[in-house]
Amino acid sequence: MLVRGEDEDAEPRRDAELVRAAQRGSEEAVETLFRRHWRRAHRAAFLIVRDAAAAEDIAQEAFLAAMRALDRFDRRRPFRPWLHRIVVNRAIDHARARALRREVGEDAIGEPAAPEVEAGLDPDLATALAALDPEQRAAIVLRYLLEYTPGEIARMLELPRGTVNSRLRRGLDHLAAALEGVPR
Amino acid sequence: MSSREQVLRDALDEVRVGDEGAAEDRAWRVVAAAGVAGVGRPERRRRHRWRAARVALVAALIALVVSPAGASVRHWVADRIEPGAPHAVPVLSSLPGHGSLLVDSAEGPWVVHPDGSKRLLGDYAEASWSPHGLYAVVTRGHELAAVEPDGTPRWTLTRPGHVELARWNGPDGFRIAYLEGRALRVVDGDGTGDRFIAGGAAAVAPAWRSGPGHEVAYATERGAVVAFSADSRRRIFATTPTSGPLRGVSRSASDVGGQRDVSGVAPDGGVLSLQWTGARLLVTRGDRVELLSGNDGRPVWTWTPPAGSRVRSATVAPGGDRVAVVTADGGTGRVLLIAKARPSRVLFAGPGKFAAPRWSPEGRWLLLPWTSADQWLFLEPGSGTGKLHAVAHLAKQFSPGDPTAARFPSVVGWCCTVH
Repeated sequence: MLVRGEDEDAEPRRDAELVRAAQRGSEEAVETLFRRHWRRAHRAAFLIVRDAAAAEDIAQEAFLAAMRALDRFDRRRPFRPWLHRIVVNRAIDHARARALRREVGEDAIGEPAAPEVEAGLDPDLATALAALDPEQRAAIVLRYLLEYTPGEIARMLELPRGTVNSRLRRGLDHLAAALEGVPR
Repeated sequence: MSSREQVLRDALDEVRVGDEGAAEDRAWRVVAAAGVAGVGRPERRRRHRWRAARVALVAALIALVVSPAGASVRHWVADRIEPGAPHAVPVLSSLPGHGSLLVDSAEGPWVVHPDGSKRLLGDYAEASWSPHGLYAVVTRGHELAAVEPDGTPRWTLTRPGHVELARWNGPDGFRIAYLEGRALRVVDGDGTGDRFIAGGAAAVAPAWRSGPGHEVAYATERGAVVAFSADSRRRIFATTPTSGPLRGVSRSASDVGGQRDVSGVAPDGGVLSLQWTGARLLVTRGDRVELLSGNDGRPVWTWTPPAGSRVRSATVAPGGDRVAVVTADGGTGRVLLIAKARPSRVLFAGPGKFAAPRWSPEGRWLLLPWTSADQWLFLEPGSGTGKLHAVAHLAKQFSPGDPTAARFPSVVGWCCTVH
C-alpha cells in the first residue's frame, strides 16, 4: 500500500528492505521508495536552485540515475543520503552554471527574472536564502531541511568537516536578521 | 540546536513547491516509463515492469491508430505494446547508415563512429562538428577550442565570459559563431579574428546559412530572430520580438545541443532552435514551427501543433523536404514527419520525453533520443516497413566513470564520415 507523502524520515531499515525488494524486481518497492523520498528531494533541489521547473527536472533526473544504479547499490549503505547526495550535487551544478552566466554581467536567460515564490517561506527569509551562494544553500538545506549532521554532510559533499561548519555558520549569520522576523 | 536554528528548520519544513502532487506524479510516470527499476531482473519481472508503461502507451496511441494520420503507425504501435517489448539492444554496437555522431555527455563530448566505437574528446562541456567532420569546436567555461576527432587540440581561445553554443559555418568552415554570455561573437575557423557581432542573444545555438555569404541567424532574449552578415555586420532581417525578457527557461543535461529545454516554463513564443535549409530559416518555438524567408524574415510556412500540445524540437532533413517535429502532450511525446504536400504523419509516440531528433547525413535514418526510456530509437521514415532499431542504457554507456552521475547523452550532430 502506497501512501503519498509517507514520512520520508522513516527508519533506514525500511529503506534497506525496499532496496532489497527492488533489486529482486518488486515494482511496488521501487514506487514506495520513490514516494517516500520524492518530496524532500524535490524541495531540497528547489531551495538550492530556486526554480520550480529546474528543481523538478533535477529531482527527476536524480531519481532516474539512482534507480538505474540500484542494482549495483550496496545495501549495507543507507539509501537516503546516497539519493540526497545525487540530488544536491546536481542542484549545486545547476546553480553554479547559472551563476557563471551572471558572473559575466549578464541577466542569464536561464535565470528567472524574479525568484520563484517559495510558498510557505517568509519573504525576507527567501530573499536572504537567495543571496547565499549555492554551496552555502546546499549546506543549509542538508542540515535544516534534510537534517543531516555536519559530519554526514561533509561525507556526502566530500568536504572537510570544518568547511561544512564554516558554511553553516556563515549561512546562519547571513540569515540571522531574516530569521528574527519569522513568526514563531 | 539553537532557537535560531530551530526557527530555520521549522521555516524550511513549511516550504511547498507549487503543485507538489502533480510534480510527483509526473516524475513517477517518467521513472516508471523509463523502466529503470528492473536492471538485471528476470524476464518475467521485466514484463510487470513494463505493464504500466504499456497501459499508458496504449491509451496515448489509440487516438492515433484510429485516425487517418495514425494508420501508418499501426506497426509501430503493435511493436511497442508487444509483451516483452522493447526489443532494445543493450549496447550501441553500430550506427545505421553513414557518418559519425557527436554526443555531449556528463563526462564530455564523444565521437561515435559507424562501427559503434567511440572516443571521448576531452573534458569539455559541449561540442559541434565542423562542416566536413574534420574537426569539432568545443567549449568549456571560458574556453573555445577546435579539436580533431581524436581529441587533439588545434587551437584554443579564452574569453572573459562564459562561452557556449559554438557553431561552425559551412561549406567553407571559415567562421565559427558562439555565445559569450548574451553576446553573439564570431571567430575565424583558424581561431583568429575574434569579434563581437551583437548583444541580447538568447541561449539558442546560432545558425549559419550555407554558402559563401557567412550569414548567421540568432535568437534574441525577447523572442525575435535576427540574421546578420558576419563579415560586413550588416543586418539582413529582424523579426518582431514576441515578448519581454524570457524567464525561467533552463537548459538541462538531457536536452542541450542548442535546443532549450521546454519541459519547464519556457514561454510558448520563445525560440527553441534555428536551422537553415537552403534560403529559408526553420524557427522552432513552443507554439509553432516556421520557415522564414532568408531575404526578409517573413514567414513562408507555419505549422502549429494540435491543441494541448507543445513543440519541443524540429529538425529539417538533409535536402530540406521533410521536417521531424517532436511534440509533448501531458505525459506523452510524439515525433511527427511533415513533408511537402502531404499530411503530417506520426512516426512514433510514447510516454515521457523525447529530445531533439537528428537525421543521418544521407537523410535515411532519424535518431530519436527517448530521454525518459534512456534509449535511442533509429527510425527509417521512408522505408514504409516500420523498421526500428532501439538501443538502451545510453546514460551508463556514455558515463562509464560514474554511473550515479550519468545523464542521458545529447546527440548534437550526425555528420559526414569522419576522416
